[in-house]
Amino acid sequence: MSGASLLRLESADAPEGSVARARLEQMFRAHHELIWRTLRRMGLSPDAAADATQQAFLIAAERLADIRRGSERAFLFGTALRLAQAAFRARRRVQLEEDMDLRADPARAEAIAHQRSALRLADRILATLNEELLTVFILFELEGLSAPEIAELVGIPVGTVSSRLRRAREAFRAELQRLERRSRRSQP
Amino acid sequence: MTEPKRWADEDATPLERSLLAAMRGERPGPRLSRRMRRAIGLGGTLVAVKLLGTGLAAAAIVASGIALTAALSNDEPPPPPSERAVPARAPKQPVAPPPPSPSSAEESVPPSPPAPPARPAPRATPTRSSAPSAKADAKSALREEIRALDRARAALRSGAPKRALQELDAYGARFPRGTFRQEASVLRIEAIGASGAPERAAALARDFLRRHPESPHADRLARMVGASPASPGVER
Repeated sequence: MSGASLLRLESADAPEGSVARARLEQMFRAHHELIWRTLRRMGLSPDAAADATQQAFLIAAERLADIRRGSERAFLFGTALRLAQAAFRARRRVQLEEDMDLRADPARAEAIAHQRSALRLADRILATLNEELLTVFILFELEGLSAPEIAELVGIPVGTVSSRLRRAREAFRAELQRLERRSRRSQP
Repeated sequence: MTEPKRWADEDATPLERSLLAAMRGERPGPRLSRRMRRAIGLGGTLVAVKLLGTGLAAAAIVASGIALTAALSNDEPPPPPSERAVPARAPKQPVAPPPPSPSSAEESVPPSPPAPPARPAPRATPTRSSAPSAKADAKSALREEIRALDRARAALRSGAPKRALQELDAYGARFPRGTFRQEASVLRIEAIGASGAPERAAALARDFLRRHPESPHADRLARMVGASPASPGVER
């Protein structure tokens, strides 16, 4: 692997380097949160998701010249998903909430607490989905990719995206209902 | 084929919608965002410049925590990121640290093997005029360093802190001026803590924090000892 691409990023004098750096900056601003969030939902801790996100961007920087304009998000998603695979199989979920930044008014402690509880519950449910369903669910329901985009990214037909999405929703709902029932039973 | 509707716009229940919203609303905090920016060379002093300028792109990426080449080829799957104990290097951390000084954190974390390197310490910041063979040597040495630390990390994660310490001893003996001495120190502190000496580990962690308040590992160690890092990165 050559360092040429990244090296160019750092050559402040070189117009080519400035362009590459600006492009990477733009990619980071536009996509790093959703890449991190996707990795979180795949089961990585906040720190581990940050590690994997930066690795995805390092790869992107290295291959910047090969990434078609407009395909940046797909490239990053694809790279991040591959990075997440090993972690997914380990299924280690480490809750380090202090590293999260929840979009809630900090003054509203109750709302934050509620959102944290919701996240914990959601991640618990996601942990029961298999990798195929989880990937489609995250990309479609949480990150807003279209079915054709997901199909291309994952390498499956669009019809399969739809069927996995349907199964993912069913599985999510079933697990949520199971947890609700269990919660009710445990109440006095 | 018709594009499916989003679940939240279709038949999701209020509770399901609320869970979807919570998941969509999470984002990395400023500390993590800063760390990511730095690691990819978009902020502060850039680790990538020195490494990549010397043809060490692969090593730079691997140094960030996962053997990406292996990850992408699946030939030799790396440990999952969630198992990593040490965050990626931040750029403010020098790529080629100066020779250890009496005050260096590495020496504060025992044992600190005094033996000279079995081979020349990796030179991570050669000039651009370095001979190709020197570059290759540096790259190879960096990879060996990374592998050595990976072994230690794997041992620690598999519940074998004493083996992790042995690996770290070996790392220290072979790379007394290693590029990843700080990472090795942090792993050692964690291994000491895991081997039944939490107080000792906490003391070492506090010492590390005192010496390296700006270290990318500071937040992690601060959490370990229940202290506030010098530069708060936690925001809610």
